[in-house]
Amino acid sequence: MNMSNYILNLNFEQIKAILYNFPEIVYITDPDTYEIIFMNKNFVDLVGEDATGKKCYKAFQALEEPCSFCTNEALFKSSDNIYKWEHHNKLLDKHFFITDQLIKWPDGRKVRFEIATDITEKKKQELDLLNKNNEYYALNEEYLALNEELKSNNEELFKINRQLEFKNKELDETFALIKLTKEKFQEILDNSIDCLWQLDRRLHFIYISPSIQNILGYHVDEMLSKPLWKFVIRAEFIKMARQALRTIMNPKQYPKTIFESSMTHKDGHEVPVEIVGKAMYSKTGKLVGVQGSTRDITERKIIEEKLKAHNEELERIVKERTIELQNKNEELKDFTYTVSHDLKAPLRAISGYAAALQEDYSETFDETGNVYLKAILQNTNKTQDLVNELLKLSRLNTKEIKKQEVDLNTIFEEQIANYSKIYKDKKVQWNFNKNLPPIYADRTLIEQVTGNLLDNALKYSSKQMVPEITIGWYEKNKDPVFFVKDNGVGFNMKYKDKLFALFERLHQQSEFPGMGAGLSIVKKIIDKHLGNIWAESKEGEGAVFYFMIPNLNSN
Amino acid sequence: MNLIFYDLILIEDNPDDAKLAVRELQKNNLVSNCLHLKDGEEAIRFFKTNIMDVSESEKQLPKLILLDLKMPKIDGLEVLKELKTHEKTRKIPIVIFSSSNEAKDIKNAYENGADSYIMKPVEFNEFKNVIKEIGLKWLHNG
Repeated sequence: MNMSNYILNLNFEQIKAILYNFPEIVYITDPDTYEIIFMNKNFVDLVGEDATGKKCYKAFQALEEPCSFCTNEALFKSSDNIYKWEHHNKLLDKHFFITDQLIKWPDGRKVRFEIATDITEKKKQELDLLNKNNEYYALNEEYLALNEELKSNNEELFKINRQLEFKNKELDETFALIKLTKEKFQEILDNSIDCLWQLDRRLHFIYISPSIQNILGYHVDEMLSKPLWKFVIRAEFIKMARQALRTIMNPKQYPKTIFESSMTHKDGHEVPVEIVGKAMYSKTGKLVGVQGSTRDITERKIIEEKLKAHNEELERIVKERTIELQNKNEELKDFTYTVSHDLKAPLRAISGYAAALQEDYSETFDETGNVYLKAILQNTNKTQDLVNELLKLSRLNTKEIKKQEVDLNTIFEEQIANYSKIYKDKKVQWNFNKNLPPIYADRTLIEQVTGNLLDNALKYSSKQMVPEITIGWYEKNKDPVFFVKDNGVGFNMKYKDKLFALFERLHQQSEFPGMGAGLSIVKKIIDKHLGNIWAESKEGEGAVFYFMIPNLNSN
Repeated sequence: MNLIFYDLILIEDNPDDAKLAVRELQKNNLVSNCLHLKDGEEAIRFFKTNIMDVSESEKQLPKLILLDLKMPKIDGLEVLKELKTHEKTRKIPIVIFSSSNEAKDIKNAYENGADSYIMKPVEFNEFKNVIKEIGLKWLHNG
């Protein structure tokens, strides 16, 4: 017997009893009147009352008219008269899965048979799940974004990592170098002749390099944490060191001080030292001590003493020599004067007697004798000229110059007029504008200068068809520079230093007569005026002699 | 002591200058009797013994004294002073013949009565000419 047949065979009361205790919610309403026909126990427990006979919308929804979502219509329309739906009851705040079915009631009416399963818990779980899902989704989004970021960060990190690796390598090398440097430095410190040291604020040694043993005889350990004053003993040097320390420790003063002092050797003798000191500050700027170096300058002191003595000796010798030289110079001046002066008379006598011989006895001599006599006379004359020039020069040495305003125009004019008289057979082209500025000089001496220069110019251009002599001036460094230019034979510039030397000649005497003293006299005069003289020339192209005497107002 | 007449008294410490000067004068017939005194001391002694301390007529005085300045012992200037301050000698013409061209010497000579100051030329030819000129001016008769 199948289930349907079994149910058909049950009577209505039996069915009602089964339904009443059915574990789900079961109730029956009249779809036309909305009257509740049956409620099972589960439903009564849930609602809190048996609402049989009441309107369903009133009892279950607390509404005054049928629910807007009533499924009756849909139930009638459905082909199998079954309608399944979910519903949330606001009064009970519960979710239900509902199956409605139109069935034939024993009284013949078609009623609505409804079975509801409480799915609140399930719904809640579902909702939770949904929320969780959303949450997860959001997290996922976030995760993805983070992932992207991480990815790029990762790349960055990779780069940084590589850089770091590189830096690390560099650092390793640097550390190695530092270590090496430190070792080297230590080696230098240990082996340096100078002693390096650090003192704390109480002036106790906190570091001292081993070379101190060579200087003061103490081992490093004998000095470390000992006060400075154990090694600087003599009052004068203590005072000196205090003074230096004050300077070093005063931040307003120079940051570094170098001074010479003395320290006491272990065996008691004083060691001259040169000290370089500098204050030490902490990072916060607090004075923490002094550091510096100490050098043994014993050798230097000895050398300095020797040098000093040597210098004094030298100075003394120089002074002596200078006086000697001055005396010699005076003697020489006197000598030049005396010799040249004293030679005059005998020379005159020689030439006088020679002339007398020539006049009175020339017939007694044969031809050769007369040639010799002539030679004696010529040489005597030449010697006389030399003596005269020497005398002029030696007089210049002793002559005091008397400066006054001198008009070179009149001097040149007079001298040109004189020369024109002397050389009246020779046509000379004079170029002279008479526009020379005045100078401040000794007139007599300047006349010798201009005279000698004109003399030279005329002499060396005398072989030209028309000797041309130009006198002019130009300004150089605010001083006038005068010049005398000729179109004569000129000279080779490589001999220019010989021009002004005494008795130096650049031409054969037979070609151009003269003693070679004129330009030395000119130079001497210009020198006496603190001026300058020089010349420019080319062989065969004439010569220019320039002279400059410091300006009028420079006295 | 018989005083011989000298037309020129040459006071000159350089015997060569003296000899050459006298030669030149004699060659030109400008001097007949010339005395050469070798320094100031000798000169003073001569004038004292022969003129100053003797009462002789002025006729015996020389026509000219040619006096050098720079001489040993007593120099020319002192001789000049002596002769030009003494009554019996002050009228004798004295020509200073010196190699010095210093202004001080020239001034001193004229201030002490020198009749002329002539520089002794270095060169013999000039020397010769100057001597001749002196002779012509001071010794020439008429």
